[in-house]
Amino acid sequence: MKITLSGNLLRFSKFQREIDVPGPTVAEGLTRLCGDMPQLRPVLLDGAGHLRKVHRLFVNRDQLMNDELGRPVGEDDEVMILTAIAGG
Amino acid sequence: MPRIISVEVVSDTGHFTPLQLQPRAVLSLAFNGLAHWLREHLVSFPRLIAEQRTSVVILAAGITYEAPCRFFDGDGFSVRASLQARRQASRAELDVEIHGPQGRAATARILLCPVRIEDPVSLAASPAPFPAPVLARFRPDEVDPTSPARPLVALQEEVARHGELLATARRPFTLHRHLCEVADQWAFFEVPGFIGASREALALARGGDVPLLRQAFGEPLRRLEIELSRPYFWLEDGLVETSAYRLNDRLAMIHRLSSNLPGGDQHGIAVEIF
Repeated sequence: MKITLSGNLLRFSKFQREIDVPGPTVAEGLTRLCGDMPQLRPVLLDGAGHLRKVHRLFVNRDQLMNDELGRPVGEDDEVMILTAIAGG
Repeated sequence: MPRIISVEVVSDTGHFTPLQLQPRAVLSLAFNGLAHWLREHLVSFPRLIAEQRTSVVILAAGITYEAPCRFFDGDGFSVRASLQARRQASRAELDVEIHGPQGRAATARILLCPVRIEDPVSLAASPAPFPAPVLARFRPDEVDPTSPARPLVALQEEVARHGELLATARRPFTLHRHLCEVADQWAFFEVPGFIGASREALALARGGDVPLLRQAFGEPLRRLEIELSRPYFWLEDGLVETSAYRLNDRLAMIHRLSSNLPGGDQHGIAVEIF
């Protein structure tokens, strides 16, 4: 899958906006992404390892709820992570 | 009476167009007035975020220009700001007056939504009323349970219903970092720049056959109302769709801010009256 990150997350991905990540599901892709980029982990995931509610996740532009992260994805699928709002 | 802070600003050329205070400058100075008010009466903006894990995002902003205030009119002007918590502290309203040598030059109103900082590193946040320790620092007359007004709705309806549509335009933009605030999210006071660029491009392209459009170059802005529904973040692409109207022989503009991002494409609406 190709994971695309929102602009305020780029500081934690070494300013990579699009990242190819192998994995059979969205959840697995997020785990691998955070493994490859450990700075992203506390930003994307809470202490229990769940995606923080402040982020919205889309697969091929369809929004995915937090209980749908087990959805299978292929290498051509685009997973987009957007931050809803930031308190800057 | 709500507490007011007053800040004296020494004029520099960047605050002004040849005609008036720049709308961007008015909104930026108004927001800085908020920072002054917070530091004096609540807690400084950095400490509000870092220690109280509380911040604000902007839902709406408006400017009404009054007395003339041009660069050569004087050496400076004052910014007076007051803040009220509204609607069970789930909103806050910043009222700002700018006073120049000829009296009150502009009023600005900024509607804020308090947010709880969920992640102190990225500053990702979610809407939440002011926490009790913060709310306790407002005086009773600075807490109003009612919902704030939405003046843009009526103004947009008036322009769309009674105005004569003259021309339309679309102008893309990219949110580069100089247009962002500390969280790499757009700074709301850049909205006048985005819509102004679209308005001027339209006037350049169509001002020959629609002369009223050139009023956008030579007449001061009288009123601006903005409502924001979704932020842009750094490096995201946006679009301004501008519709120009004749309203009582004046020029009026409705600008729609959108993007191609998933999850809803509307980011905001702005109305300008010249």
